[in-house]
Amino acid sequence: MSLNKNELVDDLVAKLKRRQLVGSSAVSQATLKLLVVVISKNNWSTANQLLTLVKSVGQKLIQANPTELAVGNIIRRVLHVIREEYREAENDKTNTEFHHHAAPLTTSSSMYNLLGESGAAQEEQVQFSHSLRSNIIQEIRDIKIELENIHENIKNQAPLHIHSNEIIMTIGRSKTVEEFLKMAASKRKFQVLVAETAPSYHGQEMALELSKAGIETTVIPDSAVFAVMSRVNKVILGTHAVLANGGLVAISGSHMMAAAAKHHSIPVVVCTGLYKLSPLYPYDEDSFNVTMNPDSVLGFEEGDLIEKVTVTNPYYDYVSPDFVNLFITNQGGHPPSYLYRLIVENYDPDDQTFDL
Amino acid sequence: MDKEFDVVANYKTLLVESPEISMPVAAIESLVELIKHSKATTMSEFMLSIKDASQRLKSSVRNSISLSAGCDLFLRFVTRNSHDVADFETWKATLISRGQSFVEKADACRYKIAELGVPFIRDGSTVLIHAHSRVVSLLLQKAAADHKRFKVFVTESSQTQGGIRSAKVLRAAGIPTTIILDAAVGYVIDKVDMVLVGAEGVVENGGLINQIGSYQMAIVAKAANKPFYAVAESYKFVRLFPLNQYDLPTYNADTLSFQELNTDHDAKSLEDGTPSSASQTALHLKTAEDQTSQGSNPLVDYTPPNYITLLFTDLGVLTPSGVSDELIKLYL
Amino acid sequence: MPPKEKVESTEQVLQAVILADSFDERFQPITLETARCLLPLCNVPLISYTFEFLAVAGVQEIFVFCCSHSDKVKAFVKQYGKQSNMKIHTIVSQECMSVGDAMRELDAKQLIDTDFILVTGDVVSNMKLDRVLEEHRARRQADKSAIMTMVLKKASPQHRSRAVGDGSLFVLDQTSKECLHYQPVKAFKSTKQDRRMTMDMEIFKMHPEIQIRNDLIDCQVDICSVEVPALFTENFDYQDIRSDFVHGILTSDLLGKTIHFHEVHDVYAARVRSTQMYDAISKDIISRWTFPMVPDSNLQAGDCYEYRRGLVYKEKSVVLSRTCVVEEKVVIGANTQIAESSVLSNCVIGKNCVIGANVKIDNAYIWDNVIIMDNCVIQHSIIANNAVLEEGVTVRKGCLISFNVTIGAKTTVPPFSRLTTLPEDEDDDELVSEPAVVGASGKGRVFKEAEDSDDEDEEEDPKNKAVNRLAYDLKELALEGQDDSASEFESEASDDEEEAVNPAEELDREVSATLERAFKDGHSVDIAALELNTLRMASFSNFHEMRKRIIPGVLRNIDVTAKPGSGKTTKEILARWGPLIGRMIHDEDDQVDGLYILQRSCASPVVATAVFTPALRYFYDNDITEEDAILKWFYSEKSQQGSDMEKQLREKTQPMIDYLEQSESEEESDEEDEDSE
Repeated sequence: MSLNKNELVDDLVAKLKRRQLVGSSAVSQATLKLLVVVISKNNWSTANQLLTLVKSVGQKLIQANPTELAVGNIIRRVLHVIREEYREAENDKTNTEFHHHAAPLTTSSSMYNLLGESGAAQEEQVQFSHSLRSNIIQEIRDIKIELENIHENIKNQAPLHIHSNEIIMTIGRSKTVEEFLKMAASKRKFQVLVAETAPSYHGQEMALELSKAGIETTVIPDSAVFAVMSRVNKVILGTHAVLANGGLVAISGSHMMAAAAKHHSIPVVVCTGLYKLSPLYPYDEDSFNVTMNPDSVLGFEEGDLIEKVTVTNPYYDYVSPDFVNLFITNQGGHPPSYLYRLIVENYDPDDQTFDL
Repeated sequence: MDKEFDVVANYKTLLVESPEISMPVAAIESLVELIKHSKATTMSEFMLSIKDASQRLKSSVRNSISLSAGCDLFLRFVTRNSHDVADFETWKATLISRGQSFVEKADACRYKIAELGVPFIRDGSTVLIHAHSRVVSLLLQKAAADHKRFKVFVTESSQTQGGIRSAKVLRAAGIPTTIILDAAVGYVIDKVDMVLVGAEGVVENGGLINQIGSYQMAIVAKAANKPFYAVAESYKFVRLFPLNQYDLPTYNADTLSFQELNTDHDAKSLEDGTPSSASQTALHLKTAEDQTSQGSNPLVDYTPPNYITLLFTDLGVLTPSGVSDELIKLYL
Repeated sequence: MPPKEKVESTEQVLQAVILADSFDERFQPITLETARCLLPLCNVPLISYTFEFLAVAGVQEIFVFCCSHSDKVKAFVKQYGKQSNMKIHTIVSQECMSVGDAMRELDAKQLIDTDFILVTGDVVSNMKLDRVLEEHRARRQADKSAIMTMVLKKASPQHRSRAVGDGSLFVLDQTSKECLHYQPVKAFKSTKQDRRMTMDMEIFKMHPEIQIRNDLIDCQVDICSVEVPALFTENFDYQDIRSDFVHGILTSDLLGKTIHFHEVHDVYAARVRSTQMYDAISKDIISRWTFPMVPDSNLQAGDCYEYRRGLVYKEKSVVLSRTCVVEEKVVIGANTQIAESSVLSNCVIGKNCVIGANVKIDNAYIWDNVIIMDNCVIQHSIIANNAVLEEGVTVRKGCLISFNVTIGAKTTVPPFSRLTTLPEDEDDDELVSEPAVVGASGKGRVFKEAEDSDDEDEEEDPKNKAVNRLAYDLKELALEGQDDSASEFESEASDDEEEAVNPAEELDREVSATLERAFKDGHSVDIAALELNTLRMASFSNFHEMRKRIIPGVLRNIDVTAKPGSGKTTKEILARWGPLIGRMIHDEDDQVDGLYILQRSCASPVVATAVFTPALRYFYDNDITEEDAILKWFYSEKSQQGSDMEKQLREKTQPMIDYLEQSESEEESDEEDEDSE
């Protein structure tokens, strides 16, 4: 059984490494699916064993492609769920007054821990009751359902944010934004400007999809973003990941668009599922970027040129949190300063790194 | 006997004896010492004596910010657990052991912060730091030990000469360090990749109380679009909500008050005979005028949260708004 | 083996064959000690790139063919196979000397029962093969004779990732995606033959629109059907997959097989065929053209490279000193240390290297565990594992320093040196170091290439070899080639124009060059004749034109004053090269024509007139010209006209004519030997 699990892990690792599986949504669903198998097919009896198991899988997956932050997020979510379930079970068992009192305080490592108890680690050695296994699996299923309904939850907020006859600008192709705009279009009439998003030209695809849905769509070159920004009412961005400080890792060009919007005091709204929210910080602006094959910037055929110049093709941009006005997640709208709260709710501070 | 035990004296000897200890830790250690000597027989008597002692400690130094953070934290712990007391003596023993383990853990805090902060130091970058902070020095030393190659500008911090001390420590760790005038922050900011400061205290809104000069550094950093990081142990979180510089408890009517015309305005301001930190040992009170103008210059300033990019604490890397969350958790 | 009639379905296990041996010696002396496919390219064994490429293509089963250093390849493959979900088999065959041998072996072992991907163990590519496979399968379903699909990539003619020495010319039909003709192209086309392309005119009839392309990188990624190994067995002389197999299949009318191509865009594909390509591909990997196969995707398990701006890749455990400068395009492997003030640019440094202070490394490839002491300078070279450069060593461009070589302090290694520590003679155990090259405290010797490279390249222009070397400079090499301006690329384009202006002159030059070479190198008549014939065909010339040039060419060599035995007398020269003239003369008209030419050329001041009669005599004696022809010539008007000199010569033959006329009646019967031998 453990062999089976290893094979599945290796398979996903290979896929991530070869970039056969990319995109936050696909990656997180695959990770979750794998974790369900790992948890249900392996033998474990204590919380620590289970945590170590999940962490070791997580470590492998993250190393395979560190830029797919959603993998780490899902692993952390699952670890958090395990810890929560464990604590609940503990509380049920030893329903003493003290524990009841202390429980809300020790949910995360706080200042209080400096003076308070520190016995939690050994207690996790305690045997799990059998129901816990199914509870954990059930919780993970819930996460899965959450993932599946993300677009639904986000797009239902669209009529709140998009008003009649507005001009919306966006860049790149984000499924979330696409659904969001389509939903709004079913209620209101508005206009969308899409930056073409060179060199991937995902913006063109996006524009095609939107116009198919009957939205009045205009493609503009990336270089015209600033020029037309003054006419825009709202910038709506999709993102690859949201970092703990509220910064975005989004398709290259997003930073420029957000900066232009800030210059014109145009609100920037980011549509994202919570699974893209990562508890990591942008240590430096390149740390979560991917530099792609420069072929689409300057063709490899141009032999004489590529010998003499260096061509780089960064896929993502880092957009700092002060450019973003609002995040629309599956849990509602939040200002960037509120994100830490969501991180505290969804992840355990001990799980920032998966060092075993 | 508790009247004979001088908590202030104990606190001061602690600081002199071990220069690496920080003020809140020393305060808690003194309070634990007080409990050991306490002859109180009833709960209320006991609580009263602790409160009184912490009050005395706070008033004993001019710059009481970080000290009061330690005192408050300990008091909070004592009061919170006082409900469950069954046996007074054993409870006292628990308090003592907890207090002692805190002192031990306090050191580990710094290492944890250093670990969290190291990834932010990029290879080949230039860091601007202010005065002397043990935890900042430790962080930089750790980064250097990780083979990161970076340079440091440190402000001299004329009041305490902390910058000179920092430079000595950092150079010993093989980090190229240049001491700059406090007034040269604006001059060097374009060459700098990030600003890193320590903290005397972190207030409820995520703002920072630190050695004088931090605020202007933060303003310059913001103007130049450079990240401004604060490094603070979580026991330095204080329950203050300053709205401006003059809301701080260290402010009094004398601070920067306008002297009479015949007194020397330019006299160097130095604090009174009680050093609030072990670093402030070299006191040169030259003239009588100097002495009269002492205390007219502030020791600390307040940096509002919107200037702070992130705080590195032992609870993790926090945004300023995350700090209030942690404080609420404790004092709710 | 008859072609399988069953329909290939996509469910079948996709198989691939890797030819792990290169069957050439371009990486020697390094490849004397390890297999080519295990050489590290950006610190990852070459074959890993190929495995990865195939894994991405969805290959489930791989056969690795290896010959030299098979034990090492086997061990590596075993290790690799553990962490891979592909089934990898190694086939060791010591007798394999070429691609052809490997394919015949494959056929003999009957391992393959479906279409397979044939690649060499040095392919670096990020292309996805699914479309190619699809196309190939669809084509196979429609037409069983489509036996192979080659994958080609477009790149400008002077692209750094093209092997300059391994150019190829493809004639393609874009509508049917068929390859119609193939011809290898040499970098320096010293012979007429190298510069000409011959193609069946039928192609033009069959295909309304064709392309002749020289801008394709041929990375030898082929989708082959099961017939391909079988065809190799049938044609046991096929060695190379391109110049023999493809060329052979396409020029053969009998087989009726077709070969198709697939042109790829936006992807990377290249082969590490030579040290020069090693250099180019390393740079491509560092510049991320091969994405996602870049150092920071950590192909090898355990690697942990970080990407930094300026195309710098560094393992976490690297220790850089504070003052060392890592410029652009650098890869540094785990646990390497670099001391103060060293400057690194455009280079790859392996694991566990120690680089001293004030070292300058530019464009170099330094493998694992190398120690470079203070003040060394290394330019454009490859330094293999465990080499030691002592203090102050300078390594000039183009050097290959093999395993374990030590270069003593303050030595300068001259450009293009190849050093090894292997003893010269295989029987010798002891290495005799050459202090002149490696310094007093050094260890190693200059590697000498095996002289008797017995392959078909015996006439290879040495420049064509040099062109494959690391750090070659095309311009420099071109300058070395004295008058052969045509070998330079720039003038190549104008080549045709030049021809159009004066093809005769061009032919003159070619013929005399060929003859000169033949005389100097002492070629056999057969070879010289073959060369001249190809020349004739290539220039669309006729035998008359050839005779006009060859006869004086041969006669010019005669030195009438030479003593017998010197090889220069009329007799000796004629005995040696007369048959060559014979090869140019066939029927009676030719013979008469030959005599006119002989007459005219002997009348020129270049060739002594004294040569004429002996030459005529020789022609007659050796049946190059028969008596009828001689008589015809003698009595023709043409021979009686011309200059006085020519007339005189004609007069001189009078005795011989008389003799011939007398014997004519007697010898009438001998008519079998019409043609020359």
